[in-house]
Amino acid sequence: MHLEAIAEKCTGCRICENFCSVKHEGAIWPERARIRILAETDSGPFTPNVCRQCEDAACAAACPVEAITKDQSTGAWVVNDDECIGCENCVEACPYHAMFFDAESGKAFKCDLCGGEPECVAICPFGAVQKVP
Amino acid sequence: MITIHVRYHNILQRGAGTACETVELPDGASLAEALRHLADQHGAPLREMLLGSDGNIASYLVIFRNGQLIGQQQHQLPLANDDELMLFLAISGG
Amino acid sequence: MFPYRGYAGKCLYVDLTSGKIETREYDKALAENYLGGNGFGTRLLWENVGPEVDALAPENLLIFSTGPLCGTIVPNPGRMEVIGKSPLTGIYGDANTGGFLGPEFKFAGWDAVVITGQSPRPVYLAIADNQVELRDASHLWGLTTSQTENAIRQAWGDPRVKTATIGPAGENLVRFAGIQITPQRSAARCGLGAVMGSKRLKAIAVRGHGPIRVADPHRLHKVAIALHKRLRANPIFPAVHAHGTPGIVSLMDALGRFPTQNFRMGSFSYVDRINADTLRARAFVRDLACFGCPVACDKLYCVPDGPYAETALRSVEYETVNALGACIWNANLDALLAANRLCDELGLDTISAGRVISFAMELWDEEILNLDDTGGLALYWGDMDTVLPLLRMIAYREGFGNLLAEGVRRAAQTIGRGAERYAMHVKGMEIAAQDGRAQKSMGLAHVTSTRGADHLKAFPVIDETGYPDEGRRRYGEQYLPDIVQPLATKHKAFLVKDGEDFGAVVDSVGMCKSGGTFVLAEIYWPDIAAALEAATGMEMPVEQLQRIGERIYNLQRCYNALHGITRADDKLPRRFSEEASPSGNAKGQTIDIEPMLEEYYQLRGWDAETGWPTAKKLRELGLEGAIERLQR
Repeated sequence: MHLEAIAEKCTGCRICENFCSVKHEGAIWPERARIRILAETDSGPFTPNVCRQCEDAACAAACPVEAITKDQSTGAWVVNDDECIGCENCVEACPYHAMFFDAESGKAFKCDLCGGEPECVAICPFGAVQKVP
Repeated sequence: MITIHVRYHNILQRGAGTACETVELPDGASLAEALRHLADQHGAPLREMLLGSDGNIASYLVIFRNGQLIGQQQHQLPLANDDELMLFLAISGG
Repeated sequence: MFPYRGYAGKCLYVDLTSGKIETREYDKALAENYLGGNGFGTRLLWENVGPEVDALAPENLLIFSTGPLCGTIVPNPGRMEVIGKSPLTGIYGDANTGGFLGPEFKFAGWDAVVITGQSPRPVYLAIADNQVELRDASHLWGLTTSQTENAIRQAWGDPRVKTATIGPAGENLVRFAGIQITPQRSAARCGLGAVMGSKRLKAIAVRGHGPIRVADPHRLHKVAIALHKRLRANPIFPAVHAHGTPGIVSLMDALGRFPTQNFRMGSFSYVDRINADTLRARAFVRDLACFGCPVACDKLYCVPDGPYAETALRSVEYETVNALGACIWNANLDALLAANRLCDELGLDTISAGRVISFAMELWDEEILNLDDTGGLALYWGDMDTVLPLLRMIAYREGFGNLLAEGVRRAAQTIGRGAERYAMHVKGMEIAAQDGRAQKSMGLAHVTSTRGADHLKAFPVIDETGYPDEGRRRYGEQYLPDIVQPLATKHKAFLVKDGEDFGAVVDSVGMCKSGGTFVLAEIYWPDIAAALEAATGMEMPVEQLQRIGERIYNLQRCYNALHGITRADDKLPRRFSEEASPSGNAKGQTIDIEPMLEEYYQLRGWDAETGWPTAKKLRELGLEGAIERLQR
């Protein structure tokens, strides 16, 4: 499974970012959202930027300690916090700017498809982000 | 037969595919019958905008007959030739 | 330490005279008794800005206030309040706004900013998380609102900075100047832009990178999901999303509730040229939303061709379509959009700006004003070639614009010659796009609103169209059918009082009335109580929440009482009782406010003679301090 953005449907509301950060961080925190809305201007056009869960994930390839592995049930590339050394190679390597770094914890973080039921897909009012099996 | 003129507003226009139309109905047709006729003519999605699941006029449909707001008690009253109906969804605000 | 989540837990206090910036912990008792938003602002005005303070004096406060649900995951969570004594009315003033600024304050770690004093030179307040400073704004003074925002973002190097800015109107102390809020939304009413201008504060710029923490994320998530689902299942939801507030233009016109030619009529012969369907077909570009809102009622518009080609703007609201359309007898939609955009850039409240012009046009029509009075300007109905330059003249206080910049009440007093008859205001605030003859509850709402004529304090929307389900959902069967009938007067005092108390809570927590709380009538007391408990960790039984709403509203009334407001001021212009509406469903109607007002005072527990809260009511609400102060 991976996520796909249908940019024309995005209104820039950021509900996806808000629910994503609540799910993962227990707080409304756009800086910790795994999905990010790119806005050309305050009034759009908008593009939901999502991790593509690439077949040949550049992030995984760049990781020196193999901390990024594929969850076979969901198809999501997942960062193993215990293994991650915070080198940020993955952040640099991702061609989609969908890998992030938390300076506080010293760990990389990314979309994990919420274990199979992505919050953003469920909550987006206009279907601007969909899941593709 | 009587002729009535119907104006659709807002997303009712999308449902009807037009902003206004003229309809022929049998003499003595009521408002409820007129709307059921339109729902039958156009089908979905207009049907759901005009009628509730029980086949009566949807409670969220706002109807003006010749400029007057029509209440639920008036749905069975007969229409007259050349009556003008304006249909809105019950959006409030401002 | 501040014990509640949902809040950031701290406020900024800025003294522009000394340049001193202080951090203070959010007051726990204030949060418990007033929540935030306008509640917080009301309490601060009550305690600090007495009747001796002129609204444009340094001692007035200007308060930017978010609430505990602002920036969270309940639907419609993007709102915040600006509060201060109004230079237009001289009494309690507030302006509510959506967009993205409120949440940004909270991400930066601030619940509110309280501003006093007057800067010796133009400045703007820059808030970068916990780094706060006043910066020179002399190079920004004189710029339009969007020019100001762009310049600040350039200098900052971050396009995601959110701002509150004034334009030339605020700088020139136009009594109905507003404040523009990212993204091109407005904290428009009551002239708080002039308060900001009197302090030489050109803008506030905020960038926040932190979290909004909540007490029980799991419970809040459950509450929020349920509210989102209910909103989106509402049968009217698609229609509200499709057009936003302009979607009601033709409907209000049919109801005779669309003020035309300065309230002479309630329907506009050319309404089809400026209604939502025409607007969408002519200029729609894309759907837009405020922070966290699933309704996405905002739209980006762009005029495609003609003399106003390339005019691009958002936040084109029902009110402006009326104020710069029907009420001035303008059927030119492109010119309407250009005028809307101009007001945004100049920093003018479109409602009051439109109303001073319709007032002047009626005076012209009645030959009370002539070319000598207007400095050579002919004020024919609908002449947009005059209106656009006149808006500039108002913003820059030039010529005849200087008189109109004072608002209809003062302008009428200056003009004399019977002009007051045509000044459509209550307590100095120009009446918005409702007509008490067409919707009786709105007549009462205009009169009892604590900021002068205003529909939003009580916002009685469930009786606009006679749609019974909203009335049923909110109040059950007991008040039907009258409570949802626009021309009925029965139960309307209750509707207005309940709306004011509930609305005070909605405005104090940071939610939007154009969403589930009022227009879609899906969210009510128990929902906000549950959301507050989950977000803050406060215990909030429904009765306690209702008392908070009542307390906020009563304190606003007390504040106005201190400023000399009594029952005598709770009245509508004579037009509404003396001139039968000629329009639509309101044809033949006038409105007599007294029976509803009598009933309202009873429900409120206010003295029927003075219109003031009684000592008994004040004690009930924990406002004993007000008893003594009012007696003096």
